[in-house]
This record gives sequence, structure tokens and C-alpha cells, in this order.
Amino acid sequence: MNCTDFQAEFLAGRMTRAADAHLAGCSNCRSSLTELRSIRSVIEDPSTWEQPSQGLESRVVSDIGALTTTKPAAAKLWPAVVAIAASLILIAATVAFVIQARPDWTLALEATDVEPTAAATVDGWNTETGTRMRLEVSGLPALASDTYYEIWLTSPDGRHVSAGTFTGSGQVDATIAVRRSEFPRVWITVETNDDDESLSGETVLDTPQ
Amino acid sequence: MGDQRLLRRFKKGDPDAVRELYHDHGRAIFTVAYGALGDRSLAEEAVQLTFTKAWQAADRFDTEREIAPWLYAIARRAAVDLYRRERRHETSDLDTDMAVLPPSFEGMWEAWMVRSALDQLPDDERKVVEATHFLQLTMAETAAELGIPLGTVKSRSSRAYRRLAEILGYLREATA
Repeated sequence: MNCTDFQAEFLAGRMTRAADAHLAGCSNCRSSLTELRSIRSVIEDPSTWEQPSQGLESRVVSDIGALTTTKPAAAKLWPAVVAIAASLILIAATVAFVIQARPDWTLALEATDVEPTAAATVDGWNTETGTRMRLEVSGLPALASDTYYEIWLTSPDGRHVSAGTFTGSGQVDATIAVRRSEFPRVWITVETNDDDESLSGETVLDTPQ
Repeated sequence: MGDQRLLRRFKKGDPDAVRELYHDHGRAIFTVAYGALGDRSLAEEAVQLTFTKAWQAADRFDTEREIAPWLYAIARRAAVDLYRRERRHETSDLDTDMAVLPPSFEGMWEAWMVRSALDQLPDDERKVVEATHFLQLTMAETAAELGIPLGTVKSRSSRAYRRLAEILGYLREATA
């Protein structure tokens, strides 16, 4: 048995007599025992095996897409305005910290006919990288495992970006790399777990007209 | 060189490059953030924040270096920022010591490396490791669960742990 064989056996939790014999005669493997134990505990830790939700990848793609389409154009056209805005955002962030992160804006979403008793309030913060939102959602039933609620932001020219997903009423946090001033409509749809990343059109909550 | 090209495409917002970077590192970012913050929604927020910050810093990335430690540093910073933000929400005491991080923030690099190593295993081998180590199934139960012969479970398990030992070898050397 060589060192790799021993280490593989140890990680697998199978200490055979041959593995014990190797360890007794190998100072290299004895010196790495602490680290091997630590690696094994990480493999056994449930958090190592937790999977992010299916929609996360498309949210990341959407965030970067929004940054590349909105930021350069604004910077080219209005450099002074952008500089002032950046300063204001920094000041706003500092003020927000001092006053215990009071939201920059609050919005009450309206229910549609799909779930007429649903309601949601959205607290929003303008951050250095876009927008952070905290939603308090009520009246939306828990969904089956193959469906989920998705939060969308939409610009006046009809561009949609996904801000996050959730599966039922309660508090939901979402971060997105666009500014609400450029994507004013906040709305929530029911989506199905499939390869189709477009929105379904089944709206349950929406920004009032 | 490949990393350099990938980052250039990432900086341009090429969706395929973003997906490639996410496939290579997204799970590891999520794992360390989830381990540190203990909350799925915050961990996903940390992943989004990490990619946004990486995009903003991509011009300054030293292409002689590897992407993983750079992304890890950004991910850790994102998790720390989110942890402190949540602490501020929970307490009205402005004097609370925000410099002290909980024990869940220790060993994040190791967790990153182990998750990345698991991601490098072929799917069939990773499933066996997951079943035996995480779900705590016996070899026979794993065979029944995956619908494969017991001998196949044993050989896949053997290959998987050998591969993990090899991939993680330098992590042990670095800390020995």
C-alpha cells in the first residue's frame, strides 16, 4: 500500500489492517493525519452537499448581462452625472449604515386574479452594485417541488431581469445588479423547473400601475 | 492563458463565459457561503455578489495567478459583508464588535477545495461518495439506491476516494 492508497482508504473511512500497517511505518501519512481528518469532516458536513437553487445560474448571468448593458452606456454619456451619482450612493450607503439600514424605497405589490389574497411589501436599498430587496410575502401557497415563485424587475423598454426565487410566503431576500430607477417594475410569477429560462407569464403579484 | 481568455469574455458579459465560470466555481462559492452564513438565501445572495464584484474587478485581475483563490477571496469578503449586514439588522447596538466573525468562517478555504475536488469527480463516482458519506448509506444500500451492482459501487468508491486523495494532496502538503 502506498501513501495515496492509504489516504484514499482513510478518506473513505475504511481503515483496514493494511492501512494501519502503512500508517505505523509512514511518517509522511502520520504528519498529514490531522488534515486528512479535517478533509473527511468537510466531506461529511451536510453544508458541503447543499445545492444552490436551479435559478441561481440564470440570475448570475442576468446580473452580469445587466451590468454590461447599462453601466458602460451611462458612463459614456454622462460621466459627471455618474460620478456625482456614485458619490451620492456612497453617502447614502454611509447614512444607511448609521440609521440601521433604513430602506431607500418601499413598495406594496398588488395581487392578481391568480392568487387574489396574496400581498407583498418590498423594502429596497440602493447598493454599490445594484439593488438589495427584502420582501414580506403573505397569502401565497407553498408550491410543489417542481415549481417556484420568481421575482422579476422590468425596465420601461421591456427588459426583464430575475432577482431571485422562493417557494412560499414569508421573508425573502434578493440582490440584483441593476438599479430600481432603471428597472421600476417589480413583479412575481410562478415558474416551472425546466430548461426554459423565459418567464411563464403567470403573474401573482405586480407593481401597481 | 485559458483563464485570461475566459476572464476577458466574462468582462464583456459573454453569457457563455459567465456560465462557464459559474459551472467551474459557483458551487464552491455557494458551499463556503452557506457554511459560513448558515442560510440558503443569504448564500445565494453571496454568490450573486461575488460574481458582480468579480466582474467589477476583472480588469485588475493578475492573469499570472489562478482564478480560484481570487474568486475565493471575493466570495469570503462577500460572505463577511452579508454577515455584518445581517448583524446590523438584528441589533440596535452600534458598538457591537463587527470585527469578530463566528467559527463558521474558519476553514472556508478547505471547504472550497473539498467542494471543488468533489466537483471534479465524474458524476457516477460523486453520487457514490454522496450516498455513502453524506446520506450514510452502506455499500449495499447505495447499490439499491443507485440501481447498480454492489461490485460497481465498490469500484467507483475506490476510484473516487483515490482521485480525491490525489486532487487534495497539495492541500495537505500546504498545511503539513
